[in-house]
Amino acid sequence: MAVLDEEKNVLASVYLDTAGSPIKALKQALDQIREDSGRLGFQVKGVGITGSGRKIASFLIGADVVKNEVTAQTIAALHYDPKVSSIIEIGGQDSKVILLESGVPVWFNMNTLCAAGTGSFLASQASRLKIPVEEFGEYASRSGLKVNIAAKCTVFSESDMIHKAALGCKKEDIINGLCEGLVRNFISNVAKNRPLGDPVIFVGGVASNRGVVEAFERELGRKVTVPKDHKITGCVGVAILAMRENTDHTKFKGFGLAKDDIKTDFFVCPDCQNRCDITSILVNDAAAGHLGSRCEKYNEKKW
Amino acid sequence: MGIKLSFPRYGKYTDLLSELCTNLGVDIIAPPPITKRTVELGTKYAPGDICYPFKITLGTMIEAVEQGADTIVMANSDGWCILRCYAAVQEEIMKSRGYKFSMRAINIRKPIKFFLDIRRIVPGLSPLTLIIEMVRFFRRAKELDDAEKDVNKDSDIRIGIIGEVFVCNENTVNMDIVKKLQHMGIFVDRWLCLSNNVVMLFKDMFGLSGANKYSRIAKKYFPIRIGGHANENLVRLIKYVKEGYDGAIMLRPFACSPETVIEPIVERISRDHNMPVLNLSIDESTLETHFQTRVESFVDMLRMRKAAR
Repeated sequence: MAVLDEEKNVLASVYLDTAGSPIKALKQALDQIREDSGRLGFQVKGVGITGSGRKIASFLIGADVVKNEVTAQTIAALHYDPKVSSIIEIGGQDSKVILLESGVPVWFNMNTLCAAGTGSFLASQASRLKIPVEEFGEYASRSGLKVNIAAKCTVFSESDMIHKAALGCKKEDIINGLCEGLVRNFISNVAKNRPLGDPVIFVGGVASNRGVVEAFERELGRKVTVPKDHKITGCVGVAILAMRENTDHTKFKGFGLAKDDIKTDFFVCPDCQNRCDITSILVNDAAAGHLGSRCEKYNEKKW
Repeated sequence: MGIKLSFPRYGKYTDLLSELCTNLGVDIIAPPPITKRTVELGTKYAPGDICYPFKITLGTMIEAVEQGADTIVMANSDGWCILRCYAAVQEEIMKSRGYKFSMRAINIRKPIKFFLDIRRIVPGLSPLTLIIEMVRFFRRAKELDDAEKDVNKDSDIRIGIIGEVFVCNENTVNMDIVKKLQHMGIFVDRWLCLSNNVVMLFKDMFGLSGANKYSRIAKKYFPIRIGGHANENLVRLIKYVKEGYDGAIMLRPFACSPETVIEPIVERISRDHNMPVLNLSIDESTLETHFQTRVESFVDMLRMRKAAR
């Protein structure tokens, strides 16, 4: 979650692992921002929401703009560098590439099948190796030997790492091999071997990992920029879009969410043969929104 | 004879197909809607790696028989792709599970077999009656398709849809993507609509397709004839480029061989002609949110590109 002022400077931000409870994390983040607003004295004039949970979050918080992550990241990257040519985003469970020409996105792709190239995989390997993922960069930089680690699939990748360790390869080399494998996988499967033009911006949680950043730089043969706010660029982008809406009355529901009782109700609608599975989000026992309806009965049919 | 006929659903044309059967004097059980249960049944009983349309059509057949159908009709493509095996394998699967019914595959490539296969279900059918009903059916399908192309005719963004024929027509499987795009104000051309299909089948049946149907330009990208509508998709994509479309969406079932083969070719054509193509793979694990995110991103990108010109 991030708060921007009128000059698009980040006044406050929160970056949390949802740890399987996204609504709890949302409440926590919102509460933190509420504290920040009291301390720094700002008022919320507009809200933008992005990410895979954007629909649900918009039911709970209220939003002026609800936009997909590709557009949000594009807007953010253009804000950091209007000449940006390639955006690499690698987050917890997805990765994307966006190519631009003269400030206009001309192509993008999101990973489809597997999380092999994303943050959750790196985190699970870090946990297995008992090395904090933040130290991956340091380990990778100490690598002296090129070790090829299969990177297309998490299962095979882990098997390969275990196998290389059994052969006697050092952790530094294995970690470096993993970072390089991730980069190779990204370039061939996500970027589909399209040339990534200069300047390149790398965002998302994984951009914190120096091992991956440097592997990209080696593979691409050029410097890769990691903005200071790389973890929250999606928020920045969608906040800028909300700013453009310039509404007088924001749909923001206020900071009360932290105290609200939020429940999800699952039921099957019996009204026709389709038997849709409906998910209802209840705030203090009142329905705030629904998902899953094939007709207009429970939710809008527009995307 | 008193048979109770049913068949797999085919998007918005399902009612027309029901009407066709009724006009031919057959009692039908309307194909049940495709629901979560349909997908579960189809996925459970179908071979794991098989293409998605097989699973969906199998699921519907099972539910139709559960609801009292004793005869199931399925197309036999007699050539193109795994579709040629559908009826036989689906029958085998269902009978081995104890479902009691007759499978009637209809050959959709050879005109005489087509007629004879239908006459097995409608005894005493005359060729003239069949022709009249097929023409009536085609006209109704064309009305629906023309109405679809009437929406957002003056839109500044035009998107062409290519891909595998079943997922392009069955809206419950493609997340009703055409309607959703139309709600976003976009003009959509879905070249695999049923009326186009019927015309292609007719031409193919009577040898009117012409030897050089596969254009020289498409041959340059992919010189081999393969199954499904793969080659035709390449031709149509290049046509979309020439007609100045803003982008194309390729809808394919995850395990569809012909479409998987041409996917890199489509990517190549997209790069060469600077025509964005959104490639969407569909199967039982496809989530609507993922679909929606990609389509929304794609539309946003097309709008930004257009605004910059």
